[in-house]
Amino acid sequence: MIAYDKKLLENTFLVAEAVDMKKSGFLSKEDLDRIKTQLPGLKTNRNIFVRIGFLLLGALLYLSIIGVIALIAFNRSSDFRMFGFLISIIGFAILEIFCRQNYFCHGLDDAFIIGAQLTFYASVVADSDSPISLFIAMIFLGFIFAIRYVSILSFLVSVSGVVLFIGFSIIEYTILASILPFVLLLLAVGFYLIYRKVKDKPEYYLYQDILYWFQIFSLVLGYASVNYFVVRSLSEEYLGFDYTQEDIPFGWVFYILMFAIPLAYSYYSLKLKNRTMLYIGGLSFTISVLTFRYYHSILPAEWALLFSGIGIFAAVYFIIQKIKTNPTGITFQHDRTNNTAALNNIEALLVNSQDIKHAEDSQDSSMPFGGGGYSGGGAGENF
Amino acid sequence: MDQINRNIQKLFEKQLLSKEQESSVRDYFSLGIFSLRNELLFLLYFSVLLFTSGVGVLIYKNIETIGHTLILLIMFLLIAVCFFFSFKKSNGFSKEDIDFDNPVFNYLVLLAVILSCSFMGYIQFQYLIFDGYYEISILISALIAIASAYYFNNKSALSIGITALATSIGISVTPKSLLRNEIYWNENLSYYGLILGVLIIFWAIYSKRTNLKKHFNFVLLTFALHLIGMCCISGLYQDYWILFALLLAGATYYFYTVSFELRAISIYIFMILYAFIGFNIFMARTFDNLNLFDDFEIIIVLLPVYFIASIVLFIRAIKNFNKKTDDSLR
Repeated sequence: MIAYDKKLLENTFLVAEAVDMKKSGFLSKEDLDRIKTQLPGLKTNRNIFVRIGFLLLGALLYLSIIGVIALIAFNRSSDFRMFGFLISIIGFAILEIFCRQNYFCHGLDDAFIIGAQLTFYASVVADSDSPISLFIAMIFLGFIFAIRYVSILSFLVSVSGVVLFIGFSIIEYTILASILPFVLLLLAVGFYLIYRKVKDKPEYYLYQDILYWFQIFSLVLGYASVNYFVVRSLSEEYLGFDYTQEDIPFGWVFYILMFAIPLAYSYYSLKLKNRTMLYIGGLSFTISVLTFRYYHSILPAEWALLFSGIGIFAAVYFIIQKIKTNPTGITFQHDRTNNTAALNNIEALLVNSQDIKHAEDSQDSSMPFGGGGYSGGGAGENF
Repeated sequence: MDQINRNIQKLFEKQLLSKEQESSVRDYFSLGIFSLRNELLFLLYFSVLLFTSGVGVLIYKNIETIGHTLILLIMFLLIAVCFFFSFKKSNGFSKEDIDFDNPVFNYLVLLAVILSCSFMGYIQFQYLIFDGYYEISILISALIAIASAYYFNNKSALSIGITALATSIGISVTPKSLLRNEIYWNENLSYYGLILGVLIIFWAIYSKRTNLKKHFNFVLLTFALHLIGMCCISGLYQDYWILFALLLAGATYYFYTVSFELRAISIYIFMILYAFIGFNIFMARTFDNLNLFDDFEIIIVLLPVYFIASIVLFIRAIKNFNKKTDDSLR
C-alpha cells in the first residue's frame, strides 16, 4: 500500500524524533550521530528552504517533460482532452520512480505529487464540466495519494473534497441549504471523533503527521462552519439572499457558537495539553472578535485597542501570578521541549511593523488627506 | 505525547538509547509540563502593541480637539510610572544577557519606550520645541530607546531605537511601509543608509570585542544587513553603480562569515537574496553597457540554464550552512 520501504520510513521518523530530543537537550551530538548512522532513512529534507528549492526544480523538470511530449506528439488534429490524463499518468510514473529511489518529503517528489494531481483535476474539469465530478476526483485521488505516498497535502485535498462535495450537493440538490453550517459542524465533529479513534492505533503509526493535520483540519472546519461572517457572506454569495434589512435566520445561534467554540477549544486544549488546539482556539477567538466588530461597532477603534490592550495585559498578568509557581502541569516555567530564545528575536524584529508615532509621521499628518501634496499628487479623497 | 512515548520505546528497543536517557525523557514527560510561558509573554507583547496603537490613533484623531497639555501630561505620567517601576525592579546594568526576575517588566519597558517615541513626536508637532528640526526629536526618541535597550536588556527597544535612527536620516523602512510600497528614495539616502549600516557593523564588532551585550548582535546585524542591502541595490541603478557593486560584494562576504558565526539562517538567506538581486542587476547593466543585448537569442537560450543553476546553487548553499551549524533555525 505504501510506496516506500516501511522500515526505512519508520527509521526516518525515529531519526526526526532523535533530532527533536537533541534539541531539547536529552541527547548529545555523538548519540544523535550514532542513531543517524545506525538507522538509515529515506532521503528527506527537514529544512523548508531546501525543500522549496527542490520543489521548484521538480516543477521545472515536470514542465520540460510535458513540453517535450507536446512538441513531439501533437499536431493540429490531436485529442487534447486526453492529454491532461496522459500528463497526469506520466507524473504518476515518475513519482513511482522517485519513491523507488527513496525520495520522501524531499521536494522533488512533492513537485510530482502536486503536479500529477493538479493536471488530473484540471482535465476532469475540462472533460466533464461539472464541479461534482471534480470533488469526487479530489476525494478519491487525494486519498490514494495520501495513503500511498504519505502525503499530507493530498490528504488535505481529499478531506476538502469531502467538505466541498457535501456543501455543493446540499446547496444544489436540496432545499435545505440553510442547514449547511450545522451539517458541516457535524462533519467536523465526526472528523474529530475519527481522529481521536485512530490516532493511537499502532497500525497507523506511519500516518502520524497526516493525522496531526487531520486534527487541525477538523478544528478549523468546526470553527469556520459557524463563523457568522463565513455563513453570512457564503449565503449571500451562493443562495442570493439579501441580509441588508434583516439578520440571517438563526443569526444569534452563530453569534453564540462563534464565541463558544473557541472557548471550548481553549478549555479542552488546556485539559488535553494540546498546544495546537490552544493556538487554533486563540486565533479563532480573535477572528470572532473581529467578526463581531465588523458588524457591530460598539466602540471606536482607538478605544477598543486601548481597552483590549489594558484588558489583555491585566488578564495575562493575573494568570502569570497564578501559575508561576506550579512545578508540574500548566506552568510558567521554561519547557525543555519548547524553544524560548527564538520568540525574543521575533518580537524584536516585529515591533516595527506597528505604527510607532515618530515625529516624522506627525509631520506627514499635517498634510490634508487626498488631493495630493508633495507625496505624489494621487487620487482625491472621494476615490 | 503517545507518539513520543512510542518513538522512544522503539529507539530504546533498538538499543540506541541508554537506560538513563530513556528514563530521563520519560520522567520529564511524566511531569506533564505544559508551559504557557511563550504564549503568555507573546500575549503581553501583543497587548502592549494594541495599547500603544490605541494611543497613537487617539492622538491622531483628536489632535485638534482635546487639550494638548492634558494628553501630554497623562502620557508623561504613564511613561514616568512605567520607567519608575522598571528601574525599581531592574537588576541594574550588566554587560551580560540578564533578565528581570519577572519577565513582565520587559513589556513595561517596551510600553514606556514606545510611549516616549509618541510623546516626543507629539510634543515636537504641537509645540515645535526644536523649531523645524524634526530630526532632533526623532534622535532623542532613538537615544531613549537605545539607552533603555542597553540598560534593561531589551531587544525590542533596541530595534525601535535603530529604526528611529534610520528615520532621523530620512529612511523609513518598516515592514508596513514595504508592504504599502511607501518608500521615498533619493540618491543621498543610499549614502546615508550605507554609512549608518557600516556604523552599526562597527558597533557590533566593538561590542563583540568588549563583551558588551553580545547577544544584541543578531538584531544589530539584521538591521545592518537590510540597510546595506537595500542601499546597495538602489545604488546599482545610479551612476556610480560599479562602486555599489563592489560594496555589495564586500558586504555579502562579511555577512556570509557573520551568519556562520551567529548561526543565523535568516541573515544567511537574506544575504543570498540581496547578493542574487544585486548580481542580476549588475549583469544586466554590464550587458547593456557592452551592447550584448543585441544578440538576445543567446540570452534567451541561456536563461533557463541560469535559472536552474541558481536554484541548485541556492540549495547547495543552504545544505552547506546546515551541515556547518547542524540545522539551527534563527
